[in-house]
Formats: sequence, C-alpha cells, structure tokens
Amino acid sequence: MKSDALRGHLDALLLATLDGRELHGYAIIEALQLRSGGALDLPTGTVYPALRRLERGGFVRSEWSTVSGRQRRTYKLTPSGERELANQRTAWREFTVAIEGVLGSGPWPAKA
Amino acid sequence: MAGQSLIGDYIDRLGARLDGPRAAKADLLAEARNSLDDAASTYRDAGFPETTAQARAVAEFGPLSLIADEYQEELAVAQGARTMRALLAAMLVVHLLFMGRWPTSPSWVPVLASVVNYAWVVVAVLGVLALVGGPRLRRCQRSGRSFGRLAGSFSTGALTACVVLQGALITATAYFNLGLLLSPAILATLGFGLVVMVRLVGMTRRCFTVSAAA
Repeated sequence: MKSDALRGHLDALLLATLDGRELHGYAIIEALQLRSGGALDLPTGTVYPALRRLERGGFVRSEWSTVSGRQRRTYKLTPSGERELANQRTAWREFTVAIEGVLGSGPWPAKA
Repeated sequence: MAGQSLIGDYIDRLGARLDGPRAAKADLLAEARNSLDDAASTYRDAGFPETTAQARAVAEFGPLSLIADEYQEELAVAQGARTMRALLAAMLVVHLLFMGRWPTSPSWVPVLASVVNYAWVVVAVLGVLALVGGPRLRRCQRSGRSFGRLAGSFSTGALTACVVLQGALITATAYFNLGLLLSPAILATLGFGLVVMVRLVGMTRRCFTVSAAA
C-alpha cells in the first residue's frame, strides 16, 4: 500500500497498535507490518516523528527504559489516547460502511 | 567493519542536517539509531550478510531529506518550548529583582510601575497557556514548525513589551531620581537584566531559524 495513502491514517494506526500495551518504536513498526500482512509500506523513520506528534497531543506517553538489555524509548496510550482511538474506530467504521455501500458489488437499494 | 558504517553514516548525515536544542536532537538520533540497529539485527537473523542487513535497514528507514524534514518539526517544538520556559523564568526573576525599586514621585511613576506589574501577569498567564496548550493546538500538532514560530512570535512580543515598559520606568527613574538609578543594587539588576535580554533575543531568533531549517 502506498505510503502517501497511509499517512493520513498513520496516527490512528499507531494508536491502535499501542492499544492495551507498551511498545518501543521498532516493535510498533513490526506490529504494524505483522497486522497488515506486510501491506503497510511506509518509511519506518516517519513513525518516530508521528509518535512524538501524538505525545505532543497528549495521546501517548513515552519514557526511556531497558528492553532486552538495551535502552529504548517505549510508548503507551494515555486515557486521552484511548478515547481518541475509540473515536477514530467509530469514524472508520462509519466511513467504510458508507464507501462499501457505494463501491461494493451488491444490488442498489430500491428507490423509496 | 564496513557494514557498521552504513548506519553510522546515515545517522551522521541526518544529524548534520538537523538544527535544534542539543539534548532533543541527541534523543531523536539515539532513537533512530536504535531502530536502525533493530532492523539490521532482524535482517541478520534472517540470514543476510552484515552490509546487506544494514543497507536494507537504512533503505527502509526512508530518504534522508524526508526524514530530516519530519525530525526538524520536533526540534522546532523543542526550541519553542525551551524559549518559552526560559522567557517565563527570566520574566519572573527580573520582575522580582526590580519590584519596589522605582521612585514614588511624581505620582505617575508608581502608576506606570503598577501597569508594568499587571502587564507581566498578563504576559505570564498567556505564556503558560501557550506553553501548555500550544503544542496541542491542531495546527501545531500537524506542524511542529508552527509551534516554533508561535513561540518565537510570542517571545518577540513579550521582549518588545519589556523594552518599552521597563525602558519607560528606567527613563523616569533616571530623570527624577538619578541617584537611585546609579545605586549599585539597581545597576547590578540592570546589568543582569541586560544579559538575560540578550540571551533571550538569541533564543527567540533560534525559534525562527530552527523552524525554517532542513
């Protein structure tokens, strides 16, 4: 999938990846690729500024900690981030239902 | 090892393109380095030779111009926040140092001193709001450079107000009570204020240059 198409959804994807867990940057990238079956193709370096942007917005919190014997910055959702993720999920469901209704191959509804 | 230099070279070239507070820059580069090392390690574990593993890690990380541009956004935020914190701290210290030192006559001088006091309270409240709320503004979330420029503009306004208002008080003191102005305590306070002002002007200027860099 083109990185340009992904950029508009990157913040929501990162919030979803951090749902219920604390991960460091590269683990977030691996989780994104794993969950998408490798279809999400974006420069991995762009994930870190996006995470800082989310931190600036109060949606994630980060700290340096030792993971597998190495110092890494780990990220987790804040309560505000959890609410934002729920909002993003709702908006996405509404969007996909609307688009599927038009682009999907099912029969057109009869006129009222 | 030749392979090791690929990631090192990338980090060095990225660092050379970035401009901003040293600690924030080192923090970003350390995280980038960790990510590249992790990626290279994953490829090594998959059986790729060292050089290929690092070359893949660097290629995946992204073109230098794109990555530097995005990282610079964060450095603009860091510079803006640093300047705002320094401005607020300096305003508090300088205000406390000057408080109660102005002449009591003619009657308009204490009035002007009160206006200056209230002006500082307003600037301090606005400054704290900008520092805390600015990075969360939608526009500043999209672009860290916007926050850098916002901080630079706020600091410019606050420093201009400081020059005008404190300047008026200093001029009045010089005119009506030169002896007071030339007292060692006031001269030392003025000297300190001047040093702080020069430093803050430099930091304010950096807000704009860091926001325009890369």
